[in-house]
Amino acid sequence: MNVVNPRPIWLLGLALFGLALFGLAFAACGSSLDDKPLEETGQDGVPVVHIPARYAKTLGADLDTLVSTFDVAFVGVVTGEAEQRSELMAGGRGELPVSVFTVLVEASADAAVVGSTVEVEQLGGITTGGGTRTTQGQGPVRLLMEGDSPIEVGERYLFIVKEKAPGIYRASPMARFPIESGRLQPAAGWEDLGAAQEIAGLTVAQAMERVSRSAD
Amino acid sequence: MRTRSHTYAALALVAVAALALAALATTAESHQGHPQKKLFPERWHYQVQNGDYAAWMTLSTSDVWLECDNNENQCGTKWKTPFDDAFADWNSQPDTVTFAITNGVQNEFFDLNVYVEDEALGDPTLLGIAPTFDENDFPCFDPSCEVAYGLIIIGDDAHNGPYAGPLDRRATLGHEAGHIIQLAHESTNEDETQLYECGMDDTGPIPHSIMSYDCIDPVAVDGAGEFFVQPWDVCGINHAYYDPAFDFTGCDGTLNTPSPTPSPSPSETPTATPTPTPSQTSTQTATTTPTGGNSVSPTSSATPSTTPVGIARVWGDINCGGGSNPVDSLLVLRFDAGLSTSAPAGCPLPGTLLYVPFQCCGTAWGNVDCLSGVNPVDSLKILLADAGTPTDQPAGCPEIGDTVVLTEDLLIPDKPTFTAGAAQ
Repeated sequence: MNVVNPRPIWLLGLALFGLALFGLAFAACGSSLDDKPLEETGQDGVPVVHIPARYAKTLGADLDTLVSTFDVAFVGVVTGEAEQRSELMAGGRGELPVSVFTVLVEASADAAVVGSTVEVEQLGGITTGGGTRTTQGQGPVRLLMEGDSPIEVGERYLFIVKEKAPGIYRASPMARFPIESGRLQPAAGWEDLGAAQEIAGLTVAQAMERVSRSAD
Repeated sequence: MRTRSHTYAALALVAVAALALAALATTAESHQGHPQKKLFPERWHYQVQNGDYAAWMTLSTSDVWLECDNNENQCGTKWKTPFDDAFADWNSQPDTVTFAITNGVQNEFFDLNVYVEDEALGDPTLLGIAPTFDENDFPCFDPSCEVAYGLIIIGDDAHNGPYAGPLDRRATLGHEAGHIIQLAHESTNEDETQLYECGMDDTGPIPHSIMSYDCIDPVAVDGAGEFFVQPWDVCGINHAYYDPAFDFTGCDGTLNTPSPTPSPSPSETPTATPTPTPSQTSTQTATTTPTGGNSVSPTSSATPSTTPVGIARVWGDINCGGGSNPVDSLLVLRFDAGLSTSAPAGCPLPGTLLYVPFQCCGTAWGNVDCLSGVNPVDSLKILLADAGTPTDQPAGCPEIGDTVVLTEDLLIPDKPTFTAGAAQ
C-alpha cells in the first residue's frame, strides 16, 4: 500500500493556485493597457461612448462666422424625444443612431415659427450594438459624437442649426448653447471658442438680438 | 483522493493557461519601458494565418470617393493628392498595416472607403469622422467588437480658411486613417473635455502624434501644422497589431528600418513582405513638399485588375479533391495548428485570400463559415456537412458543398498567389 504524504501535495496545490492567480493578474494587467473605459454616464444612467470626430473650430471663432455657417437660430425648450432612428452612412453601409427631439420655439428672428414645435436632430443615440455587447451582459450605451453631450429634455437652448427640411433641423455641438437661469452658457468643452465667449452670459433677448445682427 | 487529484490537475491547467495568457499579453499588446500610445479597444477581425504576418492587416481600400461640389473633377482637385499622400505616408511606415489602394478602383464593400462630401453627416463644422463597424453594421466601441469595415467621411465645406490647404486636408485624412486602425486621440482623455496642446496630456509631456488635434491643426489656429505620421503613431500600431518583424518600432521616438523576417508562408509562390522605408520623423516641418500622384504602389507581381479570372470550386473542398470530406477538415486543423499544407496546382492553399462572389469581398480559403478566419470551427463544420448535418451558414456565405466561382483577390496586391489551372 502506498502512503501519500499530504503535505507536498498541499504545497503543490497552493503553488499552482498562486501561479494561476499571478498569471491571470499579469494577463489582466497587460491586456488592460488599451482597454477604453466607458467614460461617463448620462442622466438616464446609460454610459456614454464618444465617436471620434474632428471639427473646424475656426467656424466657431466668432459669432458672425458661426451664424453664417448655419441656416437658422432659435431659442426653444426641449419638450421630448420623438424618436431614435438609424442613419445610413455614405455608401449605404454602416449605420449611426440619430436622436430626434421635439422643441417648442420660444424666440426666433422668424416670428412665424415662434410658438411652433420643430424637430431637432442630434447625431448619436442609444444602441446595444458592437455585435456582442448585449450578450456580454453589458447593456446599452449612448453613442455621441466627440465633444457632444446629450440634449436634455426639459432644458432650454439657443440652437444655431442646419435646416434639413421644413421644421427639421440638425444640431451641432459647437452651436448649441444651454440656457440656465435665463442666461446663455457655453456648451461643455467649447468654452474657449470665440463665439461661445461672445454669447455667454447674455439674456435670451440679448442673444437673439446679437444673433440677428450676425445674420444681417 | 481521486477528487483531490482532479482538483490539482485543474489547477495545473488553469496555471498553464494563465501563464500562456500572460505571455501573450506581454508580447502582443504591452511591454515595459515607455508610456502607451492611446488605442481604441476593438481590433480588426483579421488574424495572423499560419504565421504569415505579411498577409495580415492588408486592408482593401477604395480610391477616394469624390462627392463634393457636385463635381467629381472639381472635388478631386482639392482632395485626390492629399488622399494619395496621406495613405502613402501610412503605407511607408514600419508596421504591419497596409492600406491596399489601386488608383481608380472603388468598391463599397472593401475594408475601408473614404468619402469626401460637402458636409459630413449633415454637420457643416465636421472636418472628418472615422467610425468602424462590425459585421452586423453596428458601430464598434468596445473590446468585444471585431471590426469588419471602416468608413472615413470628410466634410469639404469645413475645410475652408486655415483648413483649406492641401497639407491640412492631408492631415485630416491621415488622422482619420489612424482611427481606422484603432489609434485614439492623443490630446484628449475619455473622461474630460480638456484639450491639451501638442505633446502634452494629463500625464505631462508625451510624443507628438498625428492623432493629436493640436499637433495637426494649422499654424494659423495655433496648431503645430504637423500633417504627417509620427513615430509615436507607428508605435501604437505596433502595439495594436504586433508583427515580430517590426517589433515595437517607433516607441523610442524614432523610426528605424528593421528587416522583416521571411514569413513562414505555406504558399509555393513567394509572399510579398512589406519593405519598410524610412519616413518622416518628428523633426519634419510643415514646409515639406507633398508628393504628388498616387504613390501607393503595389509591390506584388500580381497585376491589379477589376476582372479577376474565375475558377469553379466546391466550398469546403479544401484540397480540391472532388468534394468536401474529413480530409479537408484535417487540412483546416493542420493550417490552424501552423503545420504545413499542400494543394495541387490550381487549388488555393488554406489561408489564401480569395474573392468570393457570394460575399462582399475577400475571405480566406478554408474559412468555410466566412467568420473569424480559418479555425477549428471550420474544420468541425466540414465534418458536420459530411455527416449531412446543417451547418447554419451566415447569410451571404456559401453552403458547404456549393459550387462557387472563386477568384484570387487581385485587388489586394500583397496576398499570396496561386496558379490558375485544372479548374473543375
